[in-house]
Amino acid sequence: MEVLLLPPHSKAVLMGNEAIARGAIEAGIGVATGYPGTPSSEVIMSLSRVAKELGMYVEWAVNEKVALEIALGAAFAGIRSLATMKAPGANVASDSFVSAAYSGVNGGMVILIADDPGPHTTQTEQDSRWYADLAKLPMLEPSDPQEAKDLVVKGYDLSESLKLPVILRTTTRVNHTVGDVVYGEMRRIERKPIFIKDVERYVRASMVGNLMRHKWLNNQLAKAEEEASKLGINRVEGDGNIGIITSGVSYSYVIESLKRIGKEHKVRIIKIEMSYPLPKSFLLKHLKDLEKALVVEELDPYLELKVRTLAHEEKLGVEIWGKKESGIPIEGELNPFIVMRVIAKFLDIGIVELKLEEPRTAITPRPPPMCAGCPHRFSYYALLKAIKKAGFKLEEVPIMGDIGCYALSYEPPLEAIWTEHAMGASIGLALGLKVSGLDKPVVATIGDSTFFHAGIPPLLEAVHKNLDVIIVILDNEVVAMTGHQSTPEWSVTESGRRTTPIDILSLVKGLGVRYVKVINPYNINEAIEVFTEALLMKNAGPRVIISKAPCALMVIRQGKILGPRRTIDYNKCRNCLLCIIETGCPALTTEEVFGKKRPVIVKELCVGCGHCAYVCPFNAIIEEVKKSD
Amino acid sequence: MINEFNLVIASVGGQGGLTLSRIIAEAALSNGYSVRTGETLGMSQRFGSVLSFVRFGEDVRGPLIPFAKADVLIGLELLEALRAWKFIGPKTLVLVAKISIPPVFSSLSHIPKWSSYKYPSIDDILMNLRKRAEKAIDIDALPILRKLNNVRGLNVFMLGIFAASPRNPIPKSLYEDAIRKVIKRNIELNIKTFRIGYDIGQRLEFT
Repeated sequence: MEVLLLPPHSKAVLMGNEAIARGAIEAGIGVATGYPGTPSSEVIMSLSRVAKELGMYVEWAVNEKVALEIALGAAFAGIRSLATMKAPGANVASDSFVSAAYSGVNGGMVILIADDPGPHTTQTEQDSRWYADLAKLPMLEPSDPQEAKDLVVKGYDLSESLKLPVILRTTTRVNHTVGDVVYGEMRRIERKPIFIKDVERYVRASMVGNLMRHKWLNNQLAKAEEEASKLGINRVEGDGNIGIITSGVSYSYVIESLKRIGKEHKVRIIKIEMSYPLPKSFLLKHLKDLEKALVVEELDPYLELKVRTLAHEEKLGVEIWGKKESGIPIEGELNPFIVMRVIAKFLDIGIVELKLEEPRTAITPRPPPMCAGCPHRFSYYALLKAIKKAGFKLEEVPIMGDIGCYALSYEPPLEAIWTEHAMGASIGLALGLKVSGLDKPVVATIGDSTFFHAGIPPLLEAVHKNLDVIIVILDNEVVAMTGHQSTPEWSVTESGRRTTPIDILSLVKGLGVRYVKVINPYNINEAIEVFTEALLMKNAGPRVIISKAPCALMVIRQGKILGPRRTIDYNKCRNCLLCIIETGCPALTTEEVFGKKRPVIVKELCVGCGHCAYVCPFNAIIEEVKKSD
Repeated sequence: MINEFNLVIASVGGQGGLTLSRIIAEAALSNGYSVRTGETLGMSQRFGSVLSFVRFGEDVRGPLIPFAKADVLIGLELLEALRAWKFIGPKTLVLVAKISIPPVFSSLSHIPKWSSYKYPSIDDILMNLRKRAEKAIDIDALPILRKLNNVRGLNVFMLGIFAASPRNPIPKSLYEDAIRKVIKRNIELNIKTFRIGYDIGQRLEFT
């Protein structure tokens, strides 16, 4: 039985993202789309399991902006829709959702923006709550999986009553927390899509119209608090003349901390679930007789600034404790330890300070390596060899990186990429280095999905301006980093939809690139040769090399391996360990024999890529012979 | 019923630590508890450090366990168990598999450039765990799992050990139901592995 389709009142343990998916099902959505990005990906992944059965359109889009527009178009037509993205994806989609506030929607629309305080897997710790203010879109913030589900359902109702898309802003500790969730009714919304021409509303060309829509928008926002309160959004717990204002996962830490220091129910907790627009009457009602109030929130002092402004405007006597007074950090994520200390200080309660004494043994770092057999390892290995072969020094040829597993090439032993900036930025930044006058070759390296997402416009720019860069498209035929999602190269998607696969080679040629080569990275000599050729060309415009081989992990999960597993012939091995030094392959380790370290191939981990055999100067690494009995 | 039980699982990506947290979460829910799990993982799918938290009880809220407050730490790998030291306090029971998976460059730690990757000695790790915890028990799991032809079943084996400890508040049968629900392949072999862990656990001195 599919857990997402259990009947109402069932109780299940769901990950926050699965709970969001269930909420979308309960709300009767018809369209869900997004672009993979940790910690948001599991929402679409979960929905695609039930898409066919529920007759829902659930597909990954080429990027977040396109995803947002698809969801918005559906909501124009009256169909409830969902768009999902991680925080940097919201930056990509922002052009469209800022305008969406002026047109509004007919069917309910929720935009999931998953922030990553910590950060755990994101290039910045951007606090996307500011997007609600910028775009003027209502924003809801759940604190656990149950609330995530409930607020999605309420979010659709709020969206339809205000005719505005609603942002659901989460953080990793909500998206990736598993918790018990009680199910609600599944609403079946049978609507025929209708789109009625309304130029003033949907065409942003008329400046008079835009001014009018801005006034309409502000008018809608003015109703938001009342509509939210009808839906039971925002609440107060406990009592007393001292208060804590909080939202999102921080709320859980507040409750726990109060319990731990024996002040449960003795403090008034003002839990903000709609943090934009600020629920002013609600806050005023619960703030006005307080002596002092502490704001507990992660990252920026977002609520704090608003609460301070409100208290000032209304001349409230309440003393506000924000980041400065409490010492709550503005970087990194909060945890129960930090929050308990802050609350104890705020309530002036002495607690026994926990002494965390570090172990005397140094804890070896464990940076995540590229997987055994990863084709990216081969691509970068060959590229580095080619740079030397072409007569350049490694430190004079910048290799620009991009977003994906291959960014792990910054680590030893490859230490390949010089930058990892934003989706598709490897190419644009490489162009910038060239136009600045840098006379050495510049190489941009970009994955297939990242290329589709944001690499096409900068390549077009390179072709058009005839800029002299080398672009390596690392095509592993999947969005690997976020858990193997489909790319436009696939002919069938996760929900079973037959699609037209996009061929990168034809696409690049169609953009007008004259030098295009496709290489198999596992063929190291050929790869070195092609890279060297491209590096030695001068004023030849952009050269594109497509390094094509499926993600090794995907191959292994299909029950296959890349080639015959390797083993070491210790008669030939001279213990130089170059196999480990050059590849950093996690299937290699060492053992001590007669006081000497010698390399060992871990049988269960070797996938037969042969990289270690290639680098061995003594031909000591050989194909494993299967014993006949 | 207990108010709040805090369990930490320390493992290397690919060892099944996250699956284990999901199994325990399912069993806890079946036992009528409220549940939260949280995780901290590196970027890669395999071979990085994975720390998972499982909390259950009458009233649990956030996904994170306060420092020094783990009731039990299950370590699927020695170095990772030590990496979770902040969560071990004077009342913590540590159950650690005597398995070391050195990071790739540990094998080069005799070369000065890679010296910071030196893998600590097993005795050092165990000494540190024992010093911190109320009790730390190391279990030589690999020979047993190899004999069962189920090295990948380390997670359910260690669950069996935990299930046999007096700290465990959930009936054994609920774990078996949860294993059947969460694990998709080799269910019977994994149930068997769990039971063998349980049998071995019953012979251990937990206090």
